[in-house]
Amino acid sequence: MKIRFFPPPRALARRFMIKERPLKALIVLGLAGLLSALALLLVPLLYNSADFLLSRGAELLSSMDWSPYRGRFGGLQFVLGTLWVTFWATLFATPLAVSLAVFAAELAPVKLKGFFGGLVDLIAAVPSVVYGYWGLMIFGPLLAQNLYPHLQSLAALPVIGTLFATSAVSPQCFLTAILVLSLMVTPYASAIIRNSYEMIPRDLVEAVYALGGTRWDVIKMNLGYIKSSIIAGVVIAAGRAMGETMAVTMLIGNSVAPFEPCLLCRGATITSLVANEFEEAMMNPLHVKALTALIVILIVMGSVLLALGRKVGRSLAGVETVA
Amino acid sequence: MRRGVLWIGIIYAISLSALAALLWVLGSILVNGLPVVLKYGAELFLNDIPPPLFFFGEPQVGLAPAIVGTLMVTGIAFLIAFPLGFVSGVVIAEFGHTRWGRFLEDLASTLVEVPTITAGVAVYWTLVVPMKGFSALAGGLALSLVMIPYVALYTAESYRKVPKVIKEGGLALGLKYTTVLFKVIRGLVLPGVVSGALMAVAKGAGEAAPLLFTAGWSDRLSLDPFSPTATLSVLIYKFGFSSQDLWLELSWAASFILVFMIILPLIVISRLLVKRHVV
Amino acid sequence: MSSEAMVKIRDLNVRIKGKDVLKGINLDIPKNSIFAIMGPSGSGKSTLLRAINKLWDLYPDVEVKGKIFVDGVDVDSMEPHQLRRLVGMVFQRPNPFPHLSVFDNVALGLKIHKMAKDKKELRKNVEWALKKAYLWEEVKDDLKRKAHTLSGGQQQRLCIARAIALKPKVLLMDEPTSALDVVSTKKIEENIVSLKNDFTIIIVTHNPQQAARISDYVAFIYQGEVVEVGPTAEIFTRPKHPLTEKYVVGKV
Repeated sequence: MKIRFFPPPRALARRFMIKERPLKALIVLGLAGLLSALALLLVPLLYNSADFLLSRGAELLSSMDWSPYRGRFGGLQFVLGTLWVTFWATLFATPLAVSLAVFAAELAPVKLKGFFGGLVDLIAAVPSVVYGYWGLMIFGPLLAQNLYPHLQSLAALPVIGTLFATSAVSPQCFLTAILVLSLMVTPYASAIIRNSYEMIPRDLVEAVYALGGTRWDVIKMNLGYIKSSIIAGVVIAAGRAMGETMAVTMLIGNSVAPFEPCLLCRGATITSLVANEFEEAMMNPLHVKALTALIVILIVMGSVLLALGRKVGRSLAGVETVA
Repeated sequence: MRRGVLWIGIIYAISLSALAALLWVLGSILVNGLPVVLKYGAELFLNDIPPPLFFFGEPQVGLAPAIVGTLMVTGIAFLIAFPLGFVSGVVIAEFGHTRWGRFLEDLASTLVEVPTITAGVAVYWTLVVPMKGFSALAGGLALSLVMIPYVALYTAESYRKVPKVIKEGGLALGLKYTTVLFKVIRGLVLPGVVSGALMAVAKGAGEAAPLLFTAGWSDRLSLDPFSPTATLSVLIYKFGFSSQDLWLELSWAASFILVFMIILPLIVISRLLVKRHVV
Repeated sequence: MSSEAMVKIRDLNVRIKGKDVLKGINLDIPKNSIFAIMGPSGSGKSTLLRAINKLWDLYPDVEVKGKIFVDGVDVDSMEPHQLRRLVGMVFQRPNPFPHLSVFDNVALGLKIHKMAKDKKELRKNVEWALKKAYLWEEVKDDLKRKAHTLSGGQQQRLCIARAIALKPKVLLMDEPTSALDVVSTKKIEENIVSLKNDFTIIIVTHNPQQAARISDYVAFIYQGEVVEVGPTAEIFTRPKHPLTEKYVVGKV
């Protein structure tokens, strides 16, 4: 006969959970905390945009004619602008994030590792509006003077030329916003990638060295091994880029003209449009509802992105949990 | 050349240039902001924000309304966010194996990813419209929505670090689970919880998007939570587009105060708390 | 010892975090034989093995002193990655790269050292290694299968295939069966015996019976020093040192 002196901890917890009133209350309070936050976010947005979305949602998502004073609310260019900025910022941020993670986890001297990790976290701690102001005053003008004229001369090239086609170079344009944004979202991806990188079993690393692999072979193997985390990190970074507001508003140029797949043009994203127009829109009920509806669309876009990311990540994940 | 040396060189180059960019941003704030802070000295922290045009002599230059506004709005946000986020965090850590615990954890990590401007628009509808005006309270509520999931996740992390045996030790003495959680292991989790709370405050203090159409704007110092208030982050945005040199200077000064006098100290204290106290 | 030595170890000392783990090791390991290093756990067997392929270079707190020659060449005169191409290794816990396919696991070393001219040659070499490791029959229908879906014993044989694909001169095996069941162990032991025609094998084991079953020579290590070394039959039937005698009957 087996004698059990102590019930296993989980059973213990469960038993107490049922018996203890305060514990039940704790769980209810915990649920209430986050659920009320969720409700406070979603309910007012949905409630105040539902009628607009129902009556003019189709126009909002199909037309690119945005002139609130004439009652035209075609917002497709902002949806496309958001996707455009997100795509490029993520594209630039990915190598940055992977490099920083590998550098911090593998290459940096042991003594510097902690310090280096702290610096990367610091990138995330600087407020968005400060990046925006730096871009506005220093980085943007510098690019407009030294880089953009050269890029503009590429406009004659076939296919990729359209990226650089613009009538006038401006320090505030898609590319300025994208470049600053990619720096800002890098630490989010980098933290996730670095975390997984540091958890790679030591004996796999030794196996590569034992085969006569160099440090680079080890890095390649490791990055393959943590593929799913890299994707997870990249998706998080893309999500951040999609929702980032202040820096984008200050750097993108805020043009409501129809979207063009161009990097040197001025443009707008959903967030930059809302930040830029909301205050004046408060005078015009339809305008402010249209902006609220665009925020709802942004939330849907973000959710789709996260869901897709989780699905891809899960299909690749198997390995990391097995080993 | 040995295989991969080139690639490793590229990784070095990319990493160091990302750091260089960070130092460039921080350096610009220091170089442009610190002289302004030194030039006006204490005045900056005491005077109202100067109006756009100056017809009568030397304007009084100051950022006091924005500094006080940031502290007030962040403070209100913290008062709302901490209790809600803290309890959720404890539940996430202690009941992570149950359905509700997992649900809460997913919810918190999803809420962290929600664009912060969303909170601004949502609170505009719930508070600003019915109250017919901007207020520090509305700003605080919007900011609290940003901070709640951070508080929850940081709290959960620090509760998870307490070894199971210590909790079981308390339970084995016949103490109530809640007594164990909030009294017995208080000393162990406190540094972690405080450190997480400071990180959440640091995160909130720099936010501008949730405040643009909730806290609003005011040139004058106001301590009334029901009236609008300026904040440093909104000031940087608003004055950043100005053509007046004085306002641009004030944006730099506000950036300096926000980053080097509010956010960085919070992060440093938060780090020191966790480092000193290893569970 | 009779035939020529493939690996010569002279005055090897290893210090880990300031503690002497191996003291004054001298060994000659004959070509095309199975050389077992046995001893109780903590005696420094694995440490010795990892000194031969310079795996300790990866750890700054490990000091290795002394000379090691592989096929007459001083290992210090080679780059570590060149040395490790000549000296393969199989680890205690099966550690195939779980995210790679069976084929890619074996091909990795070949690719690293650019040992195959084209895809055809790569395939040929992979097949050769898998056959040598007694794994081919079980995986030939699905070489794209991910390594983590194999059983423990299959994974270890995959690791053997991965190591021998480079056709090394020496194969180091660090308790290759300690994580496996009896049936898998038997299969791998047979495999190891079949490999000695092609390679010089140095196997670490804490199990004297295993050393007796498969090895030609044995070195008994105790507390970082070689107590006795010689042909297996001799060590197990007429041990010279009382400690060896105790160990082989299972009393140490």
